[in-house]
Amino acid sequence: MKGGSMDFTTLSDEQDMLRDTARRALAEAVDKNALRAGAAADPAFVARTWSLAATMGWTGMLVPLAAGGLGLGFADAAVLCTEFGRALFPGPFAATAILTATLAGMQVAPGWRDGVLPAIATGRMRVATIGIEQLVETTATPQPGSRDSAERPDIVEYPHSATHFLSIARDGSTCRALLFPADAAGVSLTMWQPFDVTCPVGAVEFPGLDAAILRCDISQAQTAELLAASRIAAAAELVGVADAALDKAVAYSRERQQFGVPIGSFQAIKHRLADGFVLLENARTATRHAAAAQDARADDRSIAIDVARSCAVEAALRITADCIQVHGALGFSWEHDAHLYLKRARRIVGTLGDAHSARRSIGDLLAQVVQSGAGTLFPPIGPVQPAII
Amino acid sequence: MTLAAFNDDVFRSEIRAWLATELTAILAEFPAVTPIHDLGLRRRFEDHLCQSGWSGLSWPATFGGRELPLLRQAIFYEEHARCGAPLPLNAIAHGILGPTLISYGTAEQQRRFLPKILSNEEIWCQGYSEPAAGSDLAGLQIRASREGDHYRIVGQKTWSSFAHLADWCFLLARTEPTTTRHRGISFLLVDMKSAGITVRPIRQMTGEADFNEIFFDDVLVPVANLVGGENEGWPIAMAAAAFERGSYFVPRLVRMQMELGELAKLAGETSRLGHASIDDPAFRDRLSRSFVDVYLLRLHAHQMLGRSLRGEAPGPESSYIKLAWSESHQRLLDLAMDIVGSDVALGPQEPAAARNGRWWQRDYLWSRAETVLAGTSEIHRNIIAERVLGLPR
Repeated sequence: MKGGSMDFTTLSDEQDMLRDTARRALAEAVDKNALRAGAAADPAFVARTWSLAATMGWTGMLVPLAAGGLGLGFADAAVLCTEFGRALFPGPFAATAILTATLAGMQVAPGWRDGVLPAIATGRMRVATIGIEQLVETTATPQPGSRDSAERPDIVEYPHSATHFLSIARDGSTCRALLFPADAAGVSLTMWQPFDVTCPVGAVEFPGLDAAILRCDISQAQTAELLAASRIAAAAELVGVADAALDKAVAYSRERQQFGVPIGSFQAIKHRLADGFVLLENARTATRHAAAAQDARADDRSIAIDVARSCAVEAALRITADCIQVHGALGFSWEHDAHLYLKRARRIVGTLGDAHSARRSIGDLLAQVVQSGAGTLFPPIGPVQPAII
Repeated sequence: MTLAAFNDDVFRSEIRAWLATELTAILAEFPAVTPIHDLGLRRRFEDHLCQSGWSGLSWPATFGGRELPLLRQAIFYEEHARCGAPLPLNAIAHGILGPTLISYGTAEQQRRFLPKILSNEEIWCQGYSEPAAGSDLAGLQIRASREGDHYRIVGQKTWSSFAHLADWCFLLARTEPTTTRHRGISFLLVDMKSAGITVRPIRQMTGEADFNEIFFDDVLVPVANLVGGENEGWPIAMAAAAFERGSYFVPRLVRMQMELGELAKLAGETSRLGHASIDDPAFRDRLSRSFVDVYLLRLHAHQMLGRSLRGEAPGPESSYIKLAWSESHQRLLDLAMDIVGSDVALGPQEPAAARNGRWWQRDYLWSRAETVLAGTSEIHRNIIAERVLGLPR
């Protein structure tokens, strides 16, 4: 097991400190006025915020101490991802510090560990991923003529600011990965209008496979690990987005006066926000538990992760939409931050799987247990303790 | 501490085996079709547990309690629910009144009442709600006027569970008529055999009658039955509500977990539109959603337990667990009704309606009360909004 507490029911003192430090530093470094004005499209802006993450050691959170990282586990990484979500951090943080670091840490092929981990830890390497959805094994083939089979290239997040591209392609039950430097001769970028203005998107064209500096095959088990890591990071980031949006909505409802009283004194507002709080607590608890389960490599961690992403998606979508509702017309304006949260939540949900797909894998498991008559629907809650409930 | 210390397998397996044996023996005393919520069965099993020493688990030994560590209490409640035991009838005495008397009662009250709670010889009911004081409990109007060494009680209580079976009632009454709201309320212990008491059962939508109206016509209560000081009953009642938490939720979560297992099994055995119900995508998605609901409640229960084990003050979790439990339980039972399909035409007490050993219709109907009792969902949302989020009252 990597570092991190087995106890998901509370944050350790170190995690509390990590959270507080990250929250303060990120709030200062990521100027939301600049984000709304489109600063994320400027590679220099992304590089500046990235250098903060690197200086604090956060880009190397999963990188072992020996390779210059912090050597933390997912429980700690989830704390940081939540803060990056809260701050609307503009950069491929999870793609680099979670996905690429996890891949390289598995020593999938010679050169990955030494070539990638120290560079991530120091902040020299900023990785945008191409084809991350290929990690999900699906039996469905695109319908001819559907959008899925159209010729449009893969959407890449933060391609303009990446130092490297990690391209993932599926081959049956396994995947292949290639790592390209962004400055290789013949690499060309086409930028598109982003849905989420904090996350510029575009297409990347390569001169050919020879431009790759590293390549590897990823086994089925390793693919599952990468998917688990990415999903925990996404759930944690969604928790942060939801948390920030709920804070905004609560603060506004205490200040904004209508009919001579703060709108937060109206039950219609109170109940909406109370529901948001319950959803957020659900998502926070389930995500913390899933991260602890992943650290402990618990047998049933895939269920824990499905529960976490189902809750995180539900909380983030509902709370960010409610945040706009509570702000009224102001919430609909570009000049307010509310739309940034909604868009970021929607974008993460779209790329890392919605609540429906999480519930679908839970449902398949339920049916399997019922139809085979074997196994138990409720294995003990791991990894923290198998005994109670 | 890590929660790995939660394990107590020896205790667990002993209690599990003992409960299974005793439950089988007691069920054999009743006709085979007796529903698990039959009041006679509930009383019989509770009496048996208490007489076998399984009461006062959290109480200090000086008051005859078992003084069990929190973890073992939770394991006991969990195993009690898991073996399919009937719910207790006198939980309000064991979980609320007992701890209240231990904290606030006189030595004489403790000597007189605690042993008979532990043995379950005396059943208690709670006299809080009134026709005009439901969620607004502090608006209660029943009068208790001091006359020498007695109080004279005049007024009415309602929604009192098991008052028709109860030997005693603990109630809140207004002892200072000129003050309003939270001041001027006292906490009194009333013998249900006193002259002037009339109990009228209220028939519920389930067809059962667990709740009652209680009428007090010049009922005399000795001053010795006042708990705490005169006009100081409100804080005692508020503290009493907090005693209930752990023992209330753990069994209900375990029950819900078992219900989901039974419902998934039922969905595998019934068919809809030519498939097994569980293969219907809409049903399967709803089952998964209920799975997530139950999983979350388990995580929250761990968190509550973890907090208690670390000695931290209870957080706001009791409000959101109550809210989440009651609403997700209704969601589960709504789904159950859809899976039960045309069987829903059979009544809640009809033995032919029981499927998978469960009376789904009855549980569905009962669940409508769960978002109302112990604080309505609306009140809990207000509590979360005001006390957690800090919104103006």
